[in-house]
Amino acid sequence: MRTATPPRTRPKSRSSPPVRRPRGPATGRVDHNRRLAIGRLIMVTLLVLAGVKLVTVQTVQSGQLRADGDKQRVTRLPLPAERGSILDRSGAPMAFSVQAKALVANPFLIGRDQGANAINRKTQIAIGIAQLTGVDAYQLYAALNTDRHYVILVPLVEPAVARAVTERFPEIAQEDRESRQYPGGPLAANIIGAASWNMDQHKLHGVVGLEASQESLLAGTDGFRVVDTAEGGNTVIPGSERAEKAAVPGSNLQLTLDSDLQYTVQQQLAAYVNLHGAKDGSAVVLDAHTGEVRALATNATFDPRDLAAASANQLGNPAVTTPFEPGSVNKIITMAAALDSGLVNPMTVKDVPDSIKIADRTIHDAWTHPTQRFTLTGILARSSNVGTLMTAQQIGPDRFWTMLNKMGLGRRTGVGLPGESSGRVPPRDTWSGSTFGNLPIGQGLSMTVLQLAGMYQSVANDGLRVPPRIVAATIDPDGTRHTEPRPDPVRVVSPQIAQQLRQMLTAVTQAGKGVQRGTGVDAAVPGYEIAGKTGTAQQVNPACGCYSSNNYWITFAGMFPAQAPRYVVAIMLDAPTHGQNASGLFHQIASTLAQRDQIPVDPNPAPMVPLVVP
Amino acid sequence: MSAPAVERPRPTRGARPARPARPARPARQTMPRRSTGVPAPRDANGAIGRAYARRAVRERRQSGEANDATSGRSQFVLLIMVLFGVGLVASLWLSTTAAADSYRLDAARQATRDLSERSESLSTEIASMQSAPALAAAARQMGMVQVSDVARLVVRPDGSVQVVGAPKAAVAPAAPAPVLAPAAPAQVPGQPPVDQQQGTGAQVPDQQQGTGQQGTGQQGTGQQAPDDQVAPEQPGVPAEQGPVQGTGTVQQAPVQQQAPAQQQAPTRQPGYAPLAAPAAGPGPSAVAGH
Repeated sequence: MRTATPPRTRPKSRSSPPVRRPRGPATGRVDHNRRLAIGRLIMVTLLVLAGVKLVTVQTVQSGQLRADGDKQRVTRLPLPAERGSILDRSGAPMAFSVQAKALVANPFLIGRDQGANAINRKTQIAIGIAQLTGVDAYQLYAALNTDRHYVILVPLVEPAVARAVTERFPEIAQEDRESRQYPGGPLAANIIGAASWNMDQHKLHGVVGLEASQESLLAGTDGFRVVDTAEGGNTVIPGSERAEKAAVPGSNLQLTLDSDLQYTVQQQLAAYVNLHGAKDGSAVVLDAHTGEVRALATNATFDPRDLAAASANQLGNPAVTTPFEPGSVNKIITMAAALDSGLVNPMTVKDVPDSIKIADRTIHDAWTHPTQRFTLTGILARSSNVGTLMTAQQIGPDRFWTMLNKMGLGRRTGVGLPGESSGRVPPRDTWSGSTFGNLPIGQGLSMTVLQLAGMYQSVANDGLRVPPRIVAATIDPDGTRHTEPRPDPVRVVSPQIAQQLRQMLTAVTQAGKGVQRGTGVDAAVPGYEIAGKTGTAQQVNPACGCYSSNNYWITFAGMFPAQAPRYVVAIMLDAPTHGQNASGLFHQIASTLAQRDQIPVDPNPAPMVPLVVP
Repeated sequence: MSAPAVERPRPTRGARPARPARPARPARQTMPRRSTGVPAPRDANGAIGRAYARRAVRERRQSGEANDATSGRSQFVLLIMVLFGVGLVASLWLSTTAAADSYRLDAARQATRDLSERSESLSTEIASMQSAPALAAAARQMGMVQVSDVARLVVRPDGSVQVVGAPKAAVAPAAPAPVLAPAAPAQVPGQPPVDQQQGTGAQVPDQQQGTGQQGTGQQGTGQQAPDDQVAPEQPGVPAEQGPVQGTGTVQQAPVQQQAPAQQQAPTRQPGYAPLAAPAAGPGPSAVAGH
């Protein structure tokens, strides 16, 4: 209705103006039209411009602009994955992680904001934090009293304490950390290693040991959250989650170690090494049947809780990384090969002189004696070099070489520890005439204490060698347990021969009189038959490239109870200054094990075996 | 013209479109009402008048219908208003409840966090107290001595008892001090503040000083020359070496002069120590940076 009326009024007004036309309505109308046209043109131009811009923004630049916008709002917040624990065989934690915070500050900003009051404020903060965390207030103050933009005041504090601090002092910020706990301190530290906080990756990172070598397993996978955050801060805008991927915690690693035994062995080894003035020492205890490493100790150890204080040689694990020449413990190879060949038996008698000439070298026994009639057992129990070499000559290098390979020398055991050494065995085709005068008595080749234990494990396990392992299982974050596959066992000798070897080795600890006395009597434990072998190897003197006459590797390898072995123990002492015998330490370890496992006592002492016959 | 009007007081619906041209109807009550607002008098040839009359009829008819519909519409409006009202109240109530719940949720979250932190700290404490070194230390403190050789009694089938081994008293190992220090859950090492941003030139001394102090505070006199050749980790004081090498007889005796604050702190935060123990955090990387 309203639209209908205006047209009616317009004609009226139009009909009246014609009277005023002569005053130049022509120019007025032109102006009007031109103005209209120009205005229209401007409008259209602006619209076109706006349209072009619109299209540009929406299509050409859209990606870039969106990215820029996202950059301002969207934040990718990492969700840290918790590092897996390392457990001993009973499930007791040896290394695990807990949440922690770091207290950080920006001293420059505090100084600027507080102005003249800065000193007071910083003092307050330092004293306050010192009260809450127990850190030295003076150090805090010194750290705060700089012009730096970022200072870590306390690297690791409990979250509750960190909250208390930040509530009291808004200038102090907290950062997420993960604190690695080693409840046992130096317990098995050389095996487990240590992890420390990596500032770049913002997560714990293994530095040495299993912590480093099993990093991928332990670390887990970090997740993330893509959210919008308020500008200039990390305050998440609720409901703005765009994507979220939960963190996958690291798997747990269960070792075959027995932490109580590990502790005892570590203690006893360190005391023994100290007592005998050795440079170094290693000891390993294997389960006789499964080859699982129950304890693996080295003398030089460190406290992973205080990694800063550890020196380089303490961080290593020489029990698997550092081979040595074994000495007479290697005679077990000759004996095994000899029995295996069927040419001899433990009671075979040989006329053993004081020395023997092999190629261009003359080899003596460790003590002077006239030519004596040794049984094969006696040769081993008295550790006669000459007798051993005579036996080796009898069976020939090929049988010896085969047996040496079966025993796993010159190859890594694959125990699962980082940096394992394979030892060194001269290849068969490089043997010179004198090589076969060296190897049977344990010189001219090297092995780790773990390989040494592995050899004796094959004797203990009825001739079946199971390569040692230290990782029992990995446990997924959801609790699924994956038992590590057991390595394929290697048949070294038949059970009968293994039994004969154990009997021969028992004679080593036989406390006879004079020539009937074995070399490892100190290893004997009353009530148990102990089978073992002593060893002494000359170290190479780097000055002359020859064998030194006063530096030795002292070794002992053995098992008990001899008739049905439960444990295999191998020990190496590096250059002890006094007491050239490691059997005392074997005795300590065996005695501890016997008590702890309540191994049944055999009240009848082992029968005396003739070592030298008239 | 007028006759049909009388005959049809209430025209049926079907007739309506056919007869709108009759001007008779406007004469009724519509005219006066309409005449106030509309210039009916201008009617020249009656067409306008008729048109207005038609409209009036339409409107009247509509208003008559509206009267009927009024009650229905008002009911509807009422219903809508009630719905709105209920909706408003409900949404208010919901948002209030949600707000209250969010407070409760927040409180519950806090409680969960506190409890999980507490459980973490307790399990840490338990783990460190039941570790083998700590147990050994506790046993030593109780005066227990590790026995090396024991004699055993074997009862023979005939009832007689045989002694295997020679019984002898266990002696405390006096010579070598224990190599593994007991785990010390109550020790708080002073953490040296470490600077991350600035050049290491200024900070390495800090770090060393801190380490030194810490070492002294914790280990007593077993200080050794710093040996930082290989370990990127840090210049170090071999942790437990003192006793081993026979130099230090003091194991845990703290040298008080340097760090009194550290020694007192533990009572305040018992669970704190293991956390802070490895100075591993930023220290190593900072030093290794150069």
